[in-house]
Amino acid sequence: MRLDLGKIHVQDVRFDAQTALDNHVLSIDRQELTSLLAQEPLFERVEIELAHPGESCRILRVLDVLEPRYRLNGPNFPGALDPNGLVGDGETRALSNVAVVETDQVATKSRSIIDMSGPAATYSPIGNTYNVVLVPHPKAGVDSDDYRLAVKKAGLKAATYLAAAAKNVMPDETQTFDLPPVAANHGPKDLPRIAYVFPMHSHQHPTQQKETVFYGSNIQGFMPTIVHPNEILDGALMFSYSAFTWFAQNHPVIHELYRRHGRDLWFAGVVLTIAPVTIAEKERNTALAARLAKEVLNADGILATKIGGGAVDTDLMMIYTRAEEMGMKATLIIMERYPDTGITFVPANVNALVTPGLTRDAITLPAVDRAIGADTIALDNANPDSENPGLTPTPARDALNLWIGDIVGAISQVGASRLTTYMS
Amino acid sequence: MEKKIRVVHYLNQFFAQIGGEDKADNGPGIKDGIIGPGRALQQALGDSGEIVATIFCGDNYFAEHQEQAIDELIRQMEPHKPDLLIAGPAFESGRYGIACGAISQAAQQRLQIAAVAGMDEDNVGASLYRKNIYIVNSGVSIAKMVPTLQTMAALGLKLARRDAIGKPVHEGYLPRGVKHNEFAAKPPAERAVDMLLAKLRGDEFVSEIAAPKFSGSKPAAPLRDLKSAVIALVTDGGLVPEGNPDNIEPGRPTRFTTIPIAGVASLAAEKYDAVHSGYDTAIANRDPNRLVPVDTMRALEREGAIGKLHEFVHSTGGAHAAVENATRIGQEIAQQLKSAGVTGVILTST
Repeated sequence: MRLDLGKIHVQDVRFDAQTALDNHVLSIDRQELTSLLAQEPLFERVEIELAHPGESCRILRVLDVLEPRYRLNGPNFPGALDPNGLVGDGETRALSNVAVVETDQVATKSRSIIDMSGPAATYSPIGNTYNVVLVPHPKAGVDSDDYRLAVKKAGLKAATYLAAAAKNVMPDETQTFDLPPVAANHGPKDLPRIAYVFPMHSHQHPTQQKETVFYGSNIQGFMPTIVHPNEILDGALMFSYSAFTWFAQNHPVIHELYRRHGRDLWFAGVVLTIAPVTIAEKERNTALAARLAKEVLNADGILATKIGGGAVDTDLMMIYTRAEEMGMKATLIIMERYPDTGITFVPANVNALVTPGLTRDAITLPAVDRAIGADTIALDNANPDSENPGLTPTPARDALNLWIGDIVGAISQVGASRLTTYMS
Repeated sequence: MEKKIRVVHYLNQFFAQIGGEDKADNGPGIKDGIIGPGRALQQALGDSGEIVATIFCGDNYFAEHQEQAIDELIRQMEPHKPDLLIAGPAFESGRYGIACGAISQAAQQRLQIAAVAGMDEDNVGASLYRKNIYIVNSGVSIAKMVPTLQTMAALGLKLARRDAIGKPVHEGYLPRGVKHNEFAAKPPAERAVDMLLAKLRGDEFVSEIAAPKFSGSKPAAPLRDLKSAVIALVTDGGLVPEGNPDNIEPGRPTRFTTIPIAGVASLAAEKYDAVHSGYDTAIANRDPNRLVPVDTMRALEREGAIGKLHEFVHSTGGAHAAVENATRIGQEIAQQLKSAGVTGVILTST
């Protein structure tokens, strides 16, 4: 199956009378996009703002980030936005340095932040994209979970609406992702076959009943399965929490396996799975995931990443252990949180871990001229998970003491970051 | 020219040339200038530092009177206004290693000066003090005296001048267990593929995260008779009385709460909360018995299947616990249960 991702390198984004992509400038009809998003009955009103790379501007309470995409031959985000259908084949247009940024106007403890200049922007690709920021305000009394799902849907709408402007524009660059069916996916004997095992969600925080994660499914009870890597790149997957969908669309591990496919490895395929809650389910799913890599994809080695908190560390370690028991070699990408805690669940046999960085590492972000998404931010660095009503909020434009992990896109659990760690 | 760093050197009785094991009971002492290995240390310091005094103590004396020894050594070195203490190296000598670690930590804390100890990485002193002080790995062989002192001098001068300290592998000290971010030449996905391919080829590779070392615990013998057993319920699922009076943290716990349940037949939803950042607490809040099964245990108690349910539930929130805190919380809870005569514990996690 082949996907041609036609990228347009946008050089500026501005509000104008009409939405159009002309000479690398994306013009947005603010009124039209606002009305499109305001159709959502849970919203009282929607504001749309632009944030440009290099600007002294901060975006707060970020819920999700998307790359604008438009599929020329089929549905967009099927099951979540468009009705059912499949993705991953044909031609897709991408506004490759534009991002749709959703903000969550009910989040009280959100620390997710984007700075368009300064130190934060050096850590994250999302500080260097032209950001179209959605600020949807809920009607009074709207359930916060329902509101969040509506915001995520608004993000999909906006991402599709913007990229549709590129329908008839010649891409600056076309990236081809082509992998044949499993039965025909044979490489030279000397290239090791590598499979990617991908728990896309941890149900330690379960999805909402109406939530759309994979092809519109809430993935409750999801069993490990083989998927084509292109599906993840092309809009089948949106993350529920703990990761931004931009990194599914631009998945670092899938990109890397494609990049080296036929060179120093053979990309055997992808096993998609979840981290369930009970031990029995974990035993079953991790063994099955490793079995699929071994007996269906015929992998020599697996690479696995996770999405979620510390609970999924156990799933990763079980996947690793099962894979090695089956005669494959395994490597994991696993994020670190505290400087002194380490990763607790590392069995003695696990010796190949790569870190995308340490999230709770202090950083001071300088004051900015403009803030989008919130006027203030409540920062309780000593106890970030607690509701602390007595806390004095900091003005959002002030200098902020945050953690690297609060910077959207600085450390992605699927292996995007500029960082590693060392122990002193 | 930069100010000369004032250095005090700590040695045991042997290296201070007082005597061997027969002099190990000698108490603390001080002498102006250098003794024995101090010559090599002074050479390593060059013009940047000067050994103003050498302090020493017998290994046995230090081990048996640690507090007095430290008090006395600190009192003796203080008038020399040192900027830096260099202790050892002790190589594989355990008592000497502990003394080097202890005096370095005390100098750091009480005199607010830089300190570097030297010893083998497997010296018991290293495991005791490596988190709090800089320890240069001397190896076990005394033949490494000079290069070890050179490494200790270089690191000590940097510490005394408050220069940035590089990585353990560059500066020669044992990792202190603190992780830092740094920019990498390649993104994680590329490094992970590199590592996997190296592993498949049988080439060398280095994991970026080491497995933690836990001190194991010996399981207790099984209960012989449940009918006379006193069973306690303990959870890391964050059960708290309504309003969370002990302010139990939902993540990164530093404390636990002790919830009285004498006469409580079942945990009523309106009287308890679950605070925990690592899982969805909705079900536990709807029915706290599903987090901590007081109702079921009461039924077993009525049936006589168990002797008695202990009258307190101990609870903490287990998300992202620092191992040190988790260990301490566990020890404190176990101690309380033991003194209360509890014979069995059911741990419910999330």
